[in-house]
Amino acid sequence: MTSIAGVADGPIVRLGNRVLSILDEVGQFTLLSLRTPRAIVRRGFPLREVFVQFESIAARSTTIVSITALFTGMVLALQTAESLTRFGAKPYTGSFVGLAFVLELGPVLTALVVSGRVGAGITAELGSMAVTEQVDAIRAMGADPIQKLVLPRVIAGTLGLPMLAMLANILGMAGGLLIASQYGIGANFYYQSIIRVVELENLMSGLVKTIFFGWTITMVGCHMGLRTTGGTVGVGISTTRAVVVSSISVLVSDFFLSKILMLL
Amino acid sequence: MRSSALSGVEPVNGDDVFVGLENLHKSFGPNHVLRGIDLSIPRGEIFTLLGGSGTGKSVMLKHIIGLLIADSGRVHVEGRDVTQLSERQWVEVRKRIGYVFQGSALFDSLTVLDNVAFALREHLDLSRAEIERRVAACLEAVGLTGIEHHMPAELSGGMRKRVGVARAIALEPTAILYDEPTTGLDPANAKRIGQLIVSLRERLQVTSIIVTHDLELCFAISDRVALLRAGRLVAQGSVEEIQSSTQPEVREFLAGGADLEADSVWLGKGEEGTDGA
Repeated sequence: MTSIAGVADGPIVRLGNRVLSILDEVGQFTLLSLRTPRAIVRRGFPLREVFVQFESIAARSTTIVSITALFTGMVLALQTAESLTRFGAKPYTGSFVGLAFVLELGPVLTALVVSGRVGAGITAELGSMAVTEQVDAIRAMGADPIQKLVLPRVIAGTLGLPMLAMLANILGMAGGLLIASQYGIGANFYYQSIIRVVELENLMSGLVKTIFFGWTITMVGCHMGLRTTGGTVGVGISTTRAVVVSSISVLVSDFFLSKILMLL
Repeated sequence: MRSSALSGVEPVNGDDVFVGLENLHKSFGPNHVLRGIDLSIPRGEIFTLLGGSGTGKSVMLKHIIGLLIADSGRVHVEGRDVTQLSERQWVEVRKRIGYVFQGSALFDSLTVLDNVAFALREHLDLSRAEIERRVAACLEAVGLTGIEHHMPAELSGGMRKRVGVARAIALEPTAILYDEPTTGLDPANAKRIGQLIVSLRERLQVTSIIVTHDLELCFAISDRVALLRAGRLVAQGSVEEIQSSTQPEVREFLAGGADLEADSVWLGKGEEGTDGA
Protein backbone atom coordinates (compact mmCIF):
# COMPACT_ATOMS: atom_id res chain seq x y z
CA MET A 1 0.00 0.00 0.00
CA THR A 2 1.27 3.46 -0.79
CA SER A 3 1.16 6.14 1.83
CA ILE A 4 -0.58 9.41 1.11
CA ALA A 5 1.88 11.73 -0.57
CA GLY A 6 3.37 14.35 1.70
CA VAL A 7 2.13 12.77 4.92
CA ALA A 8 4.63 11.05 7.14
CA ASP A 9 4.22 7.34 7.76
CA GLY A 10 2.48 8.02 11.07
CA PRO A 11 0.09 5.74 12.93
CA ILE A 12 -2.98 7.10 11.15
CA VAL A 13 -1.51 6.45 7.72
CA ARG A 14 -0.41 2.99 8.82
CA LEU A 15 -3.88 2.27 10.21
CA GLY A 16 -5.46 3.53 6.99
CA ASN A 17 -3.18 1.35 4.90
CA ARG A 18 -3.95 -1.64 7.09
CA VAL A 19 -7.70 -1.07 6.68
CA LEU A 20 -7.29 -0.69 2.91
CA SER A 21 -5.27 -3.88 2.73
CA ILE A 22 -7.92 -5.82 4.70
CA LEU A 23 -10.69 -4.42 2.49
CA ASP A 24 -8.67 -5.38 -0.58
CA GLU A 25 -8.25 -8.92 0.75
CA VAL A 26 -11.97 -9.23 1.55
CA GLY A 27 -12.89 -7.84 -1.86
CA GLN A 28 -10.60 -10.27 -3.68
CA PHE A 29 -11.93 -13.19 -1.62
CA THR A 30 -15.52 -12.20 -2.41
CA LEU A 31 -14.73 -11.95 -6.12
CA LEU A 32 -13.12 -15.40 -6.11
CA SER A 33 -16.13 -16.79 -4.24
CA LEU A 34 -18.47 -15.39 -6.88
CA ARG A 35 -16.34 -16.47 -9.84
CA THR A 36 -15.95 -20.05 -8.61
CA PRO A 37 -19.58 -21.21 -9.12
CA ARG A 38 -19.73 -19.14 -12.32
CA ALA A 39 -16.80 -21.16 -13.69
CA ILE A 40 -19.00 -24.29 -13.74
CA VAL A 41 -21.51 -22.56 -15.99
CA ARG A 42 -18.92 -21.06 -18.30
CA ARG A 43 -16.26 -23.75 -18.49
CA GLY A 44 -17.98 -26.97 -17.43
CA PHE A 45 -17.76 -29.30 -14.47
CA PRO A 46 -14.23 -30.68 -13.96
CA LEU A 47 -15.40 -34.17 -12.95
CA ARG A 48 -12.09 -36.01 -13.21
CA GLU A 49 -10.19 -33.37 -11.25
CA VAL A 50 -12.94 -33.35 -8.57
CA PHE A 51 -12.33 -37.08 -8.03
CA VAL A 52 -8.58 -36.50 -7.79
CA GLN A 53 -9.08 -33.74 -5.23
CA PHE A 54 -11.67 -35.72 -3.31
CA GLU A 55 -9.11 -38.45 -2.85
CA SER A 56 -6.48 -35.95 -1.73
CA ILE A 57 -8.71 -33.78 0.47
CA ALA A 58 -11.23 -36.21 1.93
CA ALA A 59 -9.98 -39.78 1.58
CA ARG A 60 -6.47 -39.01 2.80
CA SER A 61 -7.81 -37.11 5.82
CA THR A 62 -9.62 -40.13 7.22
CA THR A 63 -6.71 -41.36 9.35
CA ILE A 64 -6.06 -38.09 11.15
CA VAL A 65 -9.79 -37.38 11.56
CA SER A 66 -10.36 -40.92 12.89
CA ILE A 67 -7.58 -40.75 15.46
CA THR A 68 -8.63 -37.28 16.60
CA ALA A 69 -12.27 -38.30 16.99
CA LEU A 70 -11.56 -41.64 18.65
CA PHE A 71 -9.29 -40.23 21.33
CA THR A 72 -11.43 -37.15 21.92
CA GLY A 73 -14.42 -39.46 22.40
CA MET A 74 -12.41 -41.54 24.82
CA VAL A 75 -11.18 -38.62 26.90
CA LEU A 76 -14.61 -37.00 26.86
CA ALA A 77 -16.23 -40.18 28.15
CA LEU A 78 -13.51 -40.56 30.76
CA GLN A 79 -13.95 -37.05 32.14
CA THR A 80 -17.73 -37.18 31.84
CA ALA A 81 -18.18 -40.54 33.50
CA GLU A 82 -15.81 -39.53 36.30
CA SER A 83 -17.61 -36.21 36.91
CA LEU A 84 -21.17 -37.51 36.52
CA THR A 85 -20.50 -40.37 38.95
CA ARG A 86 -20.23 -37.77 41.70
CA PHE A 87 -23.80 -36.68 41.00
CA GLY A 88 -25.11 -40.17 40.43
CA ALA A 89 -25.66 -39.33 36.77
CA LYS A 90 -23.16 -41.74 35.24
CA PRO A 91 -25.81 -43.37 32.98
CA TYR A 92 -26.00 -40.10 31.05
CA THR A 93 -22.43 -40.46 29.80
CA GLY A 94 -23.56 -41.82 26.42
CA SER A 95 -26.11 -39.03 25.95
CA PHE A 96 -23.52 -36.42 26.78
CA VAL A 97 -20.84 -37.80 24.44
CA GLY A 98 -23.38 -38.36 21.65
CA LEU A 99 -24.82 -34.85 21.79
CA ALA A 100 -21.40 -33.21 22.15
CA PHE A 101 -20.10 -35.00 19.07
CA VAL A 102 -23.10 -34.61 16.82
CA LEU A 103 -23.64 -30.95 17.62
CA GLU A 104 -20.14 -29.60 18.00
CA LEU A 105 -17.13 -31.83 18.37
CA GLY A 106 -17.63 -33.87 15.19
CA PRO A 107 -18.02 -30.88 12.87
CA VAL A 108 -15.58 -28.51 14.59
CA LEU A 109 -12.79 -30.99 15.30
CA THR A 110 -12.99 -32.30 11.76
CA ALA A 111 -12.93 -28.78 10.36
CA LEU A 112 -9.92 -27.77 12.47
CA VAL A 113 -7.97 -30.89 11.60
CA VAL A 114 -8.79 -30.52 7.91
CA SER A 115 -7.94 -26.82 7.90
CA GLY A 116 -4.51 -27.73 9.22
CA ARG A 117 -3.93 -30.59 6.82
CA VAL A 118 -5.84 -29.64 3.70
CA GLY A 119 -6.01 -25.84 3.96
CA ALA A 120 -2.24 -25.67 4.37
CA GLY A 121 -1.70 -28.19 1.59
CA ILE A 122 -3.89 -26.31 -0.89
CA THR A 123 -2.21 -22.98 -0.14
CA ALA A 124 1.28 -24.45 -0.37
CA GLU A 125 0.50 -26.15 -3.68
CA LEU A 126 -1.28 -23.21 -5.32
CA GLY A 127 1.19 -20.75 -3.79
CA SER A 128 4.11 -22.67 -5.30
CA MET A 129 2.30 -22.72 -8.63
CA ALA A 130 1.71 -18.96 -8.41
CA VAL A 131 5.33 -18.07 -7.65
CA THR A 132 6.67 -20.37 -10.38
CA GLU A 133 4.28 -18.81 -12.92
CA GLN A 134 2.30 -22.04 -13.40
CA VAL A 135 -0.93 -20.15 -12.68
CA ASP A 136 0.04 -17.57 -15.32
CA ALA A 137 0.83 -20.47 -17.66
CA ILE A 138 -2.75 -21.74 -17.30
CA ARG A 139 -4.05 -18.28 -18.20
CA ALA A 140 -1.53 -17.88 -21.03
CA MET A 141 -2.89 -21.04 -22.65
CA GLY A 142 -6.42 -19.65 -22.59
CA ALA A 143 -7.62 -21.76 -19.65
CA ASP A 144 -9.15 -20.57 -16.41
CA PRO A 145 -7.18 -21.15 -13.15
CA ILE A 146 -10.43 -20.93 -11.18
CA GLN A 147 -11.97 -23.79 -13.14
CA LYS A 148 -8.76 -25.82 -13.19
CA LEU A 149 -7.55 -25.26 -9.63
CA VAL A 150 -10.14 -23.69 -7.35
CA LEU A 151 -13.39 -25.32 -8.42
CA PRO A 152 -12.34 -28.99 -7.99
CA ARG A 153 -10.84 -28.31 -4.55
CA VAL A 154 -13.85 -26.36 -3.32
CA ILE A 155 -16.31 -29.00 -4.54
CA ALA A 156 -14.24 -31.83 -3.04
CA GLY A 157 -13.89 -29.99 0.29
CA THR A 158 -17.55 -29.00 0.50
CA LEU A 159 -18.73 -32.55 -0.19
CA GLY A 160 -15.95 -34.28 1.70
CA LEU A 161 -16.15 -32.49 5.04
CA PRO A 162 -19.69 -33.65 5.95
CA MET A 163 -18.58 -37.23 5.25
CA LEU A 164 -15.50 -36.84 7.40
CA ALA A 165 -17.60 -35.27 10.17
CA MET A 166 -19.98 -38.21 10.01
CA LEU A 167 -17.03 -40.55 10.41
CA ALA A 168 -15.81 -38.42 13.33
CA ASN A 169 -19.25 -38.65 14.99
CA ILE A 170 -19.30 -42.42 14.74
CA LEU A 171 -15.72 -42.92 15.92
CA GLY A 172 -16.06 -40.35 18.70
CA MET A 173 -19.07 -42.18 20.11
CA ALA A 174 -17.29 -45.50 19.64
CA GLY A 175 -14.30 -44.15 21.57
CA GLY A 176 -16.71 -43.06 24.30
CA LEU A 177 -18.13 -46.57 24.45
CA LEU A 178 -14.67 -48.07 24.99
CA ILE A 179 -14.27 -46.02 28.15
CA ALA A 180 -17.92 -46.13 29.26
CA SER A 181 -17.78 -49.90 29.32
CA GLN A 182 -15.00 -49.68 31.91
CA TYR A 183 -17.40 -47.69 34.11
CA GLY A 184 -19.97 -50.45 33.94
CA ILE A 185 -22.07 -48.95 31.16
CA GLY A 186 -23.12 -51.68 28.72
CA ALA A 187 -22.96 -51.24 24.96
CA ASN A 188 -26.71 -51.53 24.52
CA PHE A 189 -27.43 -49.07 27.31
CA TYR A 190 -24.84 -46.64 25.89
CA TYR A 191 -26.42 -46.90 22.45
CA GLN A 192 -29.94 -46.41 23.84
CA SER A 193 -28.83 -43.37 25.85
CA ILE A 194 -27.49 -41.81 22.67
CA ILE A 195 -30.49 -42.37 20.42
CA ARG A 196 -32.81 -41.20 23.20
CA VAL A 197 -31.39 -37.68 23.16
CA VAL A 198 -29.76 -37.24 19.75
CA GLU A 199 -32.37 -36.25 17.21
CA LEU A 200 -32.07 -36.18 13.45
CA GLU A 201 -32.19 -32.41 13.43
CA ASN A 202 -29.17 -32.30 15.78
CA LEU A 203 -27.27 -34.45 13.32
CA MET A 204 -28.37 -32.36 10.36
CA SER A 205 -27.47 -29.12 12.12
CA GLY A 206 -23.94 -30.40 12.64
CA LEU A 207 -23.61 -31.59 9.06
CA VAL A 208 -24.97 -28.34 7.60
CA LYS A 209 -22.21 -26.52 9.43
CA THR A 210 -19.58 -28.81 7.94
CA ILE A 211 -20.74 -27.94 4.43
CA PHE A 212 -19.99 -24.33 5.23
CA PHE A 213 -16.69 -25.22 6.92
CA GLY A 214 -15.58 -27.31 3.95
CA TRP A 215 -16.33 -24.47 1.59
CA THR A 216 -14.55 -21.92 3.81
CA ILE A 217 -11.38 -23.97 4.35
CA THR A 218 -10.86 -24.78 0.68
CA MET A 219 -11.84 -21.32 -0.50
CA VAL A 220 -9.47 -19.59 1.94
CA GLY A 221 -6.73 -22.07 0.99
CA CYS A 222 -7.19 -21.34 -2.72
CA HIS A 223 -7.46 -17.59 -2.22
CA MET A 224 -4.29 -17.40 -0.13
CA GLY A 225 -2.47 -19.70 -2.55
CA LEU A 226 -3.37 -17.79 -5.71
CA ARG A 227 -2.41 -14.45 -4.11
CA THR A 228 1.01 -15.68 -3.03
CA THR A 229 3.97 -13.56 -4.07
CA GLY A 230 7.56 -13.43 -2.95
CA GLY A 231 9.01 -16.86 -3.68
CA THR A 232 9.30 -19.67 -1.18
CA VAL A 233 9.16 -17.26 1.75
CA GLY A 234 5.84 -16.03 0.41
CA VAL A 235 4.55 -19.60 0.19
CA GLY A 236 5.39 -20.12 3.87
CA ILE A 237 3.69 -16.88 4.90
CA SER A 238 0.57 -17.66 2.86
CA THR A 239 0.34 -21.19 4.24
CA THR A 240 0.50 -20.00 7.84
CA ARG A 241 -2.06 -17.29 7.16
CA ALA A 242 -4.40 -19.74 5.45
CA VAL A 243 -4.43 -22.05 8.48
CA VAL A 244 -4.90 -19.16 10.91
CA VAL A 245 -7.67 -17.52 8.88
CA SER A 246 -9.56 -20.73 8.15
CA SER A 247 -9.30 -21.97 11.77
CA ILE A 248 -10.57 -18.65 13.12
CA SER A 249 -13.31 -18.58 10.48
CA VAL A 250 -14.42 -22.07 11.52
CA LEU A 251 -14.54 -21.20 15.22
CA VAL A 252 -16.27 -17.84 14.81
CA SER A 253 -18.75 -18.97 12.17
CA ASP A 254 -19.54 -22.06 14.23
CA PHE A 255 -21.06 -19.87 16.92
CA PHE A 256 -23.16 -17.82 14.53
CA LEU A 257 -24.23 -20.81 12.46
CA SER A 258 -25.27 -22.67 15.62
CA LYS A 259 -27.28 -19.65 16.71
CA ILE A 260 -28.98 -19.35 13.32
CA LEU A 261 -29.69 -23.09 13.09
CA MET A 262 -31.29 -23.01 16.55
CA LEU A 263 -33.69 -20.33 15.38
CA LEU A 264 -34.78 -22.32 12.35
CA MET B 1 11.39 10.76 -26.67
CA ARG B 2 15.06 10.33 -26.05
CA SER B 3 15.90 8.11 -28.94
CA SER B 4 16.04 9.35 -32.46
CA ALA B 5 15.46 5.78 -33.64
CA LEU B 6 12.03 5.88 -32.01
CA SER B 7 10.82 8.64 -34.27
CA GLY B 8 10.33 6.05 -37.01
CA VAL B 9 7.74 3.95 -35.12
CA GLU B 10 5.39 2.32 -37.59
CA PRO B 11 1.61 2.74 -37.44
CA VAL B 12 0.07 0.22 -35.06
CA ASN B 13 -2.94 -0.81 -37.07
CA GLY B 14 -1.33 -1.94 -40.27
CA ASP B 15 -1.95 -5.53 -41.39
CA ASP B 16 1.75 -6.27 -41.27
CA VAL B 17 2.02 -5.32 -37.61
CA PHE B 18 1.68 -8.05 -35.03
CA VAL B 19 1.90 -6.02 -31.84
CA GLY B 20 1.50 -2.31 -31.30
CA LEU B 21 2.00 -0.60 -27.95
CA GLU B 22 1.01 3.03 -27.49
CA ASN B 23 2.17 5.08 -24.51
CA LEU B 24 1.97 2.06 -22.20
CA HIS B 25 2.19 2.76 -18.46
CA LYS B 26 2.25 0.27 -15.63
CA SER B 27 2.89 0.73 -11.92
CA PHE B 28 3.09 -1.70 -9.03
CA GLY B 29 2.36 0.31 -5.90
CA PRO B 30 4.91 3.12 -5.83
CA ASN B 31 7.05 1.54 -8.59
CA HIS B 32 6.33 3.10 -11.96
CA VAL B 33 7.73 0.24 -14.05
CA LEU B 34 6.68 1.14 -17.59
CA ARG B 35 6.71 4.85 -18.32
CA GLY B 36 5.24 5.28 -21.75
CA ILE B 37 6.24 2.50 -24.14
CA ASP B 38 5.64 3.05 -27.86
CA LEU B 39 6.50 0.08 -29.99
CA SER B 40 5.36 -1.79 -33.04
CA ILE B 41 6.54 -5.24 -34.04
CA PRO B 42 5.92 -6.48 -37.61
CA ARG B 43 4.70 -9.99 -38.33
CA GLY B 44 7.36 -12.63 -38.74
CA GLU B 45 10.06 -10.60 -37.08
CA ILE B 46 12.43 -11.82 -34.38
CA PHE B 47 12.30 -8.86 -32.05
CA THR B 48 14.44 -8.72 -28.94
CA LEU B 49 13.85 -6.44 -26.01
CA LEU B 50 17.05 -5.91 -24.07
CA GLY B 51 17.32 -4.49 -20.60
CA GLY B 52 18.83 -5.12 -17.19
CA SER B 53 17.10 -7.02 -14.43
CA GLY B 54 14.07 -5.27 -13.03
CA THR B 55 13.67 -2.81 -15.91
CA GLY B 56 10.21 -4.13 -16.77
CA LYS B 57 10.98 -6.34 -19.78
CA SER B 58 8.83 -9.24 -18.61
CA VAL B 59 6.14 -6.80 -17.50
CA MET B 60 5.95 -5.45 -21.02
CA LEU B 61 5.78 -8.95 -22.49
CA LYS B 62 2.93 -9.92 -20.19
CA HIS B 63 0.82 -7.03 -21.49
CA ILE B 64 0.85 -8.57 -24.97
CA ILE B 65 -0.93 -11.68 -23.71
CA GLY B 66 -3.08 -10.01 -21.05
CA LEU B 67 -1.37 -11.49 -18.00
CA LEU B 68 -1.01 -7.87 -16.91
CA ILE B 69 -3.34 -5.02 -17.78
CA ALA B 70 -1.99 -1.54 -18.55
CA ASP B 71 -2.72 1.36 -16.21
CA SER B 72 -2.93 3.58 -19.28
CA GLY B 73 -2.03 3.44 -22.95
CA ARG B 74 -3.13 0.94 -25.58
CA VAL B 75 -2.14 -2.55 -26.69
CA HIS B 76 -2.98 -3.83 -30.19
CA VAL B 77 -2.53 -7.45 -31.23
CA GLU B 78 -2.98 -8.27 -34.91
CA GLY B 79 -4.72 -4.96 -35.43
CA ARG B 80 -7.21 -5.51 -32.62
CA ASP B 81 -7.31 -3.25 -29.58
CA VAL B 82 -6.96 -5.68 -26.68
CA THR B 83 -6.38 -3.15 -23.91
CA GLN B 84 -9.75 -3.54 -22.23
CA LEU B 85 -10.57 -7.15 -23.03
CA SER B 86 -12.16 -9.26 -20.32
CA GLU B 87 -10.46 -12.47 -19.18
CA ARG B 88 -12.91 -14.41 -21.37
CA GLN B 89 -12.23 -12.29 -24.44
CA TRP B 90 -8.50 -12.80 -23.99
CA VAL B 91 -8.90 -16.52 -24.61
CA GLU B 92 -9.14 -16.08 -28.39
CA VAL B 93 -6.00 -13.92 -28.43
CA ARG B 94 -4.09 -16.33 -26.19
CA LYS B 95 -4.90 -19.29 -28.41
CA ARG B 96 -2.91 -17.55 -31.15
CA ILE B 97 0.13 -16.69 -29.02
CA GLY B 98 2.55 -19.09 -27.35
CA TYR B 99 4.33 -17.97 -24.21
CA VAL B 100 7.60 -19.46 -23.00
CA PHE B 101 8.06 -18.66 -19.34
CA GLN B 102 11.38 -17.78 -17.74
CA GLY B 103 11.36 -20.75 -15.39
CA SER B 104 9.53 -22.93 -17.96
CA ALA B 105 6.46 -22.98 -15.65
CA LEU B 106 5.73 -26.61 -16.52
CA PHE B 107 2.97 -28.13 -14.39
CA ASP B 108 4.85 -30.21 -11.82
CA SER B 109 1.98 -32.61 -11.26
CA LEU B 110 1.56 -33.49 -14.96
CA THR B 111 3.71 -35.55 -17.30
CA VAL B 112 5.44 -33.97 -20.29
CA LEU B 113 2.63 -35.35 -22.48
CA ASP B 114 -0.07 -33.75 -20.34
CA ASN B 115 1.87 -30.48 -20.20
CA VAL B 116 2.20 -30.20 -23.96
CA ALA B 117 -1.35 -31.48 -24.50
CA PHE B 118 -2.83 -28.98 -22.03
CA ALA B 119 -3.91 -26.35 -24.55
CA LEU B 120 -4.92 -29.01 -27.12
CA ARG B 121 -7.33 -30.60 -24.65
CA GLU B 122 -8.59 -27.22 -23.52
CA HIS B 123 -9.44 -25.86 -26.94
CA LEU B 124 -9.69 -28.71 -29.45
CA ASP B 125 -11.84 -31.80 -29.50
CA LEU B 126 -9.22 -34.35 -30.55
CA SER B 127 -8.95 -38.08 -30.06
CA ARG B 128 -6.35 -39.43 -27.66
CA ALA B 129 -4.29 -40.76 -30.57
CA GLU B 130 -4.39 -37.44 -32.37
CA ILE B 131 -3.31 -35.59 -29.21
CA GLU B 132 -0.41 -38.01 -28.75
CA ARG B 133 0.60 -37.55 -32.36
CA ARG B 134 0.58 -33.76 -32.10
CA VAL B 135 2.44 -33.79 -28.79
CA ALA B 136 5.10 -36.03 -30.33
CA ALA B 137 5.39 -33.64 -33.28
CA CYS B 138 5.79 -30.64 -30.98
CA LEU B 139 8.45 -32.44 -28.94
CA GLU B 140 10.24 -33.48 -32.10
CA ALA B 141 10.25 -29.86 -33.27
CA VAL B 142 12.23 -28.93 -30.14
CA GLY B 143 14.55 -31.91 -30.49
CA LEU B 144 13.04 -34.13 -27.81
CA THR B 145 11.56 -37.53 -28.43
CA GLY B 146 10.35 -40.34 -26.22
CA ILE B 147 10.07 -38.25 -23.05
CA GLU B 148 6.26 -37.98 -23.03
CA HIS B 149 5.82 -39.96 -19.85
CA HIS B 150 8.52 -38.28 -17.81
CA MET B 151 7.66 -35.82 -15.07
CA PRO B 152 9.12 -32.29 -15.37
CA ALA B 153 11.22 -32.85 -12.23
CA GLU B 154 13.07 -35.66 -14.02
CA LEU B 155 14.28 -33.34 -16.81
CA SER B 156 17.33 -31.09 -16.98
CA GLY B 157 16.90 -27.31 -17.10
CA GLY B 158 17.53 -27.21 -20.85
CA MET B 159 15.04 -29.98 -21.52
CA ARG B 160 12.39 -28.27 -19.38
CA LYS B 161 12.92 -25.08 -21.35
CA ARG B 162 12.43 -26.96 -24.62
CA VAL B 163 9.33 -28.71 -23.30
CA GLY B 164 8.11 -25.20 -22.43
CA VAL B 165 8.65 -24.23 -26.07
CA ALA B 166 6.90 -27.42 -27.26
CA ARG B 167 3.92 -26.52 -25.05
CA ALA B 168 3.89 -22.99 -26.48
CA ILE B 169 3.72 -24.21 -30.10
CA ALA B 170 1.07 -26.90 -29.51
CA LEU B 171 -1.78 -24.77 -30.87
CA GLU B 172 0.32 -23.64 -33.85
CA PRO B 173 0.41 -20.00 -32.76
CA THR B 174 1.10 -16.98 -34.94
CA ALA B 175 3.57 -15.61 -32.39
CA ILE B 176 5.76 -16.90 -29.60
CA LEU B 177 6.80 -14.75 -26.68
CA TYR B 178 10.01 -15.81 -24.95
CA ASP B 179 10.70 -14.57 -21.42
CA GLU B 180 14.45 -14.87 -20.74
CA PRO B 181 14.77 -18.07 -22.80
CA THR B 182 18.45 -18.71 -22.03
CA THR B 183 18.62 -17.69 -18.38
CA GLY B 184 20.06 -20.46 -16.24
CA LEU B 185 21.21 -22.56 -19.19
CA ASP B 186 24.71 -23.72 -20.00
CA PRO B 187 26.25 -22.36 -23.23
CA ALA B 188 25.42 -25.39 -25.33
CA ASN B 189 21.76 -25.38 -24.28
CA ALA B 190 21.55 -21.61 -24.67
CA LYS B 191 22.87 -21.94 -28.19
CA ARG B 192 20.38 -24.70 -28.93
CA ILE B 193 17.49 -22.51 -27.73
CA GLY B 194 18.68 -19.72 -30.01
CA GLN B 195 18.76 -22.09 -32.98
CA LEU B 196 15.32 -23.37 -32.00
CA ILE B 197 13.87 -19.84 -32.02
CA VAL B 198 15.22 -19.27 -35.53
CA SER B 199 14.06 -22.67 -36.82
CA LEU B 200 10.55 -22.19 -35.41
CA ARG B 201 10.30 -18.85 -37.15
CA GLU B 202 11.25 -20.52 -40.42
CA ARG B 203 8.97 -23.54 -39.99
CA LEU B 204 5.89 -21.87 -38.48
CA GLN B 205 6.33 -18.33 -39.86
CA VAL B 206 5.79 -17.04 -36.34
CA THR B 207 6.54 -13.64 -34.93
CA SER B 208 9.09 -14.07 -32.13
CA ILE B 209 9.33 -11.59 -29.30
CA ILE B 210 12.17 -12.20 -26.89
CA VAL B 211 13.03 -10.40 -23.69
CA THR B 212 16.51 -11.06 -22.44
CA HIS B 213 19.70 -9.56 -21.10
CA ASP B 214 21.67 -12.16 -23.02
CA LEU B 215 23.56 -10.05 -25.56
CA GLU B 216 25.02 -13.03 -27.37
CA LEU B 217 21.63 -14.55 -28.06
CA CYS B 218 20.20 -11.16 -28.98
CA PHE B 219 22.89 -10.28 -31.53
CA ALA B 220 22.95 -13.78 -33.02
CA ILE B 221 19.27 -14.13 -33.93
CA SER B 222 17.42 -10.80 -33.83
CA ASP B 223 16.03 -8.87 -36.76
CA ARG B 224 15.46 -5.87 -34.58
CA VAL B 225 16.44 -4.90 -31.04
CA ALA B 226 15.17 -2.37 -28.53
CA LEU B 227 16.69 -1.35 -25.23
CA LEU B 228 14.47 -0.79 -22.21
CA ARG B 229 15.85 1.36 -19.46
CA ALA B 230 14.07 2.84 -16.44
CA GLY B 231 10.69 2.02 -17.95
CA ARG B 232 11.35 3.66 -21.33
CA LEU B 233 12.58 2.42 -24.68
CA VAL B 234 15.76 4.39 -25.16
CA ALA B 235 16.84 2.89 -28.47
CA GLN B 236 15.73 0.51 -31.16
CA GLY B 237 17.09 -0.62 -34.48
CA SER B 238 18.80 -3.48 -36.25
CA VAL B 239 21.53 -5.47 -34.51
CA GLU B 240 24.16 -3.49 -36.40
CA GLU B 241 22.59 -0.17 -35.47
CA ILE B 242 22.50 -1.10 -31.79
CA GLN B 243 26.02 -2.47 -31.81
CA SER B 244 27.40 0.63 -33.47
CA SER B 245 25.23 3.08 -31.55
CA THR B 246 27.03 5.94 -29.88
CA GLN B 247 24.07 6.68 -27.62
CA PRO B 248 25.43 6.73 -24.03
CA GLU B 249 22.60 4.52 -22.62
CA VAL B 250 23.28 1.87 -25.24
CA ARG B 251 27.06 1.95 -24.80
CA GLU B 252 26.61 1.77 -21.04
CA PHE B 253 24.25 -1.23 -21.28
CA LEU B 254 26.45 -3.07 -23.74
CA ALA B 255 29.48 -2.53 -21.51
CA GLY B 256 27.54 -3.27 -18.31
CA GLY B 257 25.77 -6.11 -20.01
CA ALA B 258 29.13 -7.60 -20.85
CA ASP B 259 30.12 -7.32 -17.19
CA LEU B 260 26.88 -8.94 -16.19
CA GLU B 261 27.49 -11.76 -18.59
CA ALA B 262 30.97 -12.17 -17.14
CA ASP B 263 29.29 -13.44 -13.98
CA SER B 264 27.23 -15.97 -15.84
CA VAL B 265 27.84 -19.26 -17.56
CA TRP B 266 28.74 -17.37 -20.72
CA LEU B 267 32.12 -16.51 -19.23
CA GLY B 268 33.92 -19.45 -20.76
CA LYS B 269 32.00 -19.42 -23.98
CA GLY B 270 34.58 -17.69 -26.15
CA GLU B 271 37.33 -19.91 -24.79
CA GLU B 272 35.32 -23.01 -25.60
CA GLY B 273 35.00 -21.80 -29.13
CA THR B 274 31.22 -21.92 -29.24
CA ASP B 275 29.78 -19.17 -31.31
CA GLY B 276 26.63 -17.18 -30.64
CA ALA B 277 23.40 -19.15 -30.41
